[in-house]
Amino acid sequence: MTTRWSKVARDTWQARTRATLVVLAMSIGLSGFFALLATYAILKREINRGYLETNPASAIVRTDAVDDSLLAAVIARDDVDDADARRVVNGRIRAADGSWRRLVLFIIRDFRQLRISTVTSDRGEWPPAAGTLLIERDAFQVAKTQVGQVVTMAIEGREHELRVAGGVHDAGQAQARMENSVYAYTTPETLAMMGETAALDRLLILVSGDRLDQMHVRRAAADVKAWLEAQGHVVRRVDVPAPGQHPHSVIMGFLLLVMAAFGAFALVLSGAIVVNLLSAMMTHERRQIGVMKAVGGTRGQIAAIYLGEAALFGLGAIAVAMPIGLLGGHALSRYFGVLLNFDLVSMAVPAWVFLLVVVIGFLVPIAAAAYPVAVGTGMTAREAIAAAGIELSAFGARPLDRWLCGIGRAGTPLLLGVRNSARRRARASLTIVTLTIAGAFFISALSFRTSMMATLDRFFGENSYGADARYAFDQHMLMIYVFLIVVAAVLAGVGGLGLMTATSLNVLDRRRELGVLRAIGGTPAMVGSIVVIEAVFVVVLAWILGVAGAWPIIAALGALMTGLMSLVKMRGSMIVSLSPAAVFGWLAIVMALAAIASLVPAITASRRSVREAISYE
Amino acid sequence: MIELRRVSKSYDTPAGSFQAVREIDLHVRAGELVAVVGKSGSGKTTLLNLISGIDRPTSGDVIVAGTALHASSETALAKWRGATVGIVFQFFQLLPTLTVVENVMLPMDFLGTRPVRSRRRHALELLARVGLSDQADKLPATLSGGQQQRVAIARALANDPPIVTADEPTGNLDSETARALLELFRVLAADGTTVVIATHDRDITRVASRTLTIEDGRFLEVVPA
Repeated sequence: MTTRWSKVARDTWQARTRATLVVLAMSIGLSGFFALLATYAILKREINRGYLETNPASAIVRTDAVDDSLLAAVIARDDVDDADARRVVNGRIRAADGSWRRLVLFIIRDFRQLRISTVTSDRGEWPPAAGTLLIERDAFQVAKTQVGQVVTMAIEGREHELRVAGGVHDAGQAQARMENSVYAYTTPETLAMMGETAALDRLLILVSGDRLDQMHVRRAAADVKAWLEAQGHVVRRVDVPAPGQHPHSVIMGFLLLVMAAFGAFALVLSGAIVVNLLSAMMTHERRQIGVMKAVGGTRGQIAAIYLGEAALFGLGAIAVAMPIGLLGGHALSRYFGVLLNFDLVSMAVPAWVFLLVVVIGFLVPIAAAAYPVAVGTGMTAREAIAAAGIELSAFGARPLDRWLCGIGRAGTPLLLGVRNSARRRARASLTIVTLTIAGAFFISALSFRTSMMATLDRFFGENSYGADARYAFDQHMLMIYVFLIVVAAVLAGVGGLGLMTATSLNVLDRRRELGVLRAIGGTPAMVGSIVVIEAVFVVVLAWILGVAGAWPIIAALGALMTGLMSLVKMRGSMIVSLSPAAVFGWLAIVMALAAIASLVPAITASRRSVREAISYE
Repeated sequence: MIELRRVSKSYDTPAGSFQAVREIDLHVRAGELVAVVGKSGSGKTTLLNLISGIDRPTSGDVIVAGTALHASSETALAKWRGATVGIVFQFFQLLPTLTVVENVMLPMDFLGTRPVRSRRRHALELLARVGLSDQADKLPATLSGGQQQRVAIARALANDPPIVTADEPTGNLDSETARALLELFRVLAADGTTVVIATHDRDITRVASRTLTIEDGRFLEVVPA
């Protein structure tokens, strides 16, 4: 190891408390980023693999009736590899508690010869005997029934009773609980026994040639449609789903990528802490930089030392984030697997995810360190050696400083604390920005919930939360604000660690000054309170800005929801309001953060002996 | 070895321009031990900084060991310093997180002057020369002021520079330690190294081949050897 790398390692060890805070802050963002990216990669692969295993239809042609001879004629076509017929009946099913739920009943031509858009047996009988049905595995909880029980269904106003013979897994359907629907499967014979029209009216085709080429599939489906019409059949509609893709894979991928982007955003914000730490280090090490330049070190060589320290932070964050992110990725994948109703065969995370996390883990701290390192090493040897270390002239030059000097007639510790917050403007600004963004997300998340509740109450009636009619709505909304709360919690964690680092650096900067305060009669409590007040002032500023920042977010979400509501034929707009509980809850949280962040630096500042403090170089 | 022609240096300060060195001419031969004496603020440190390439003149030419320093870039100056000048500071300025021997090895690492494996051996030889080989693996904070200054001298000699400059090298040492250090500089000069020392210490005249007194940025008198 060269002496330069020895310096990198020992300097990092010497600043281990602050380095740990930086590593922790970065780990939060990096773990989240890794977990979400791993989940995205696992699900993207597994959802399509699981879906493709069902051999999904290339196209679904809705016609009048498909009998065996028509089916055989379609299969005989050159542009069709295989075909099957099906019927879908919509109705209602009575759950065990007496409530009625939406029913989607699939009539399958022959359970023994299922080749297209298959379902697989999960429990009980297969195939269902006449007079029985099978229920999708996740729909048992919606129907509140079990194998062997008799259920009542209502189809076009007529009620029928059927025994539940078993369960199936249909990877082509979304989670029944989320949709608050029951998917059931039975035979044409059973449908006929119920007195309903048993004709199968959906033609499921697998085209020959490249089935992943959507244009090719469309052309083949159009030819089949024209042929059917030429044969005298009525074709009501032709659906061509995105080839090879689960119906929910695009929206799920988008959701996960948005979440991963927020993980990356938290990581970028943690870069602000690296900026603060490296800026402080560069200030404290000016003389050392000067000496290194004097003995022959070039700017590049010296910059490499400090960028190496930033890279060590990255290495630490990667080491912490890898296992946490991997566990998180697996847990999230399982959760989404259940949510989207498919089984995960492999939890393997592709190599590109690891590589990307390693690259970003190194890149963020190095990029964050680049500016302070460039400034710190840009001085000439003479300037660096001559630097006194602490600037005395930094405060008082700007209007903000003079405004702060004019605040009230409060006690000196309070004024010192408030004024000190403006001395390291860049450091304070980065902390305020992080906490402001966290606050804006937290307040808008809770306000979104309050606003949504008020809006849904208006549509469905007071105290209708969880009722059958709005259940699916509540479930989808729950996902959105849980997501916002998680993002806010991550950002608050990063912001809190940033505040802790900044406060600790402020105390380090002002050791001599704090020693002088002790020397002229300041009690340890008074000196400690200056540090605490400074942190409190910063978080109060961030709180005010966070409240201001929350309004545009909640207004944008309100506009988005109003648009979505019109799509589902809900009239009116979303009620948008800031939740007082969110606004003042966030104030309580940031005050607690300030107390935690300043406690250790305040105790350190107040315990240092006067001699120790004023002899610090 | 050192040639200064009509060299001036001024600094911009909040109170206006400050002239630290005024039109100085100086010629130092190889192997000379030159003492620059003067009061605080007289321009000693600026003169030393100009000679060692830490600073550049506002006007005039500074040619040291054949290199025109006034026309060199910062990066070129850094490399030149590492190879040509050994610098000893008043407050030792050892890097606190490097051990004694690593402090001495640092200039070799920067310049890559020796194979990696032989750097520690050479650093230990230099430490033996200043009587500190037994302290090689300690951190600077555990050494006395005199010991730290001797480490700083060993570091200054790391790349076998033809020139050594020292700014108040005895300013923070007791008189006995200071005398021992001056003797070390005398031996260096006797071995052919050009040594320029800025100091308040009048004892320097005992070992210096020439003493220059500086006041308000100008030499007052030149005392030949």
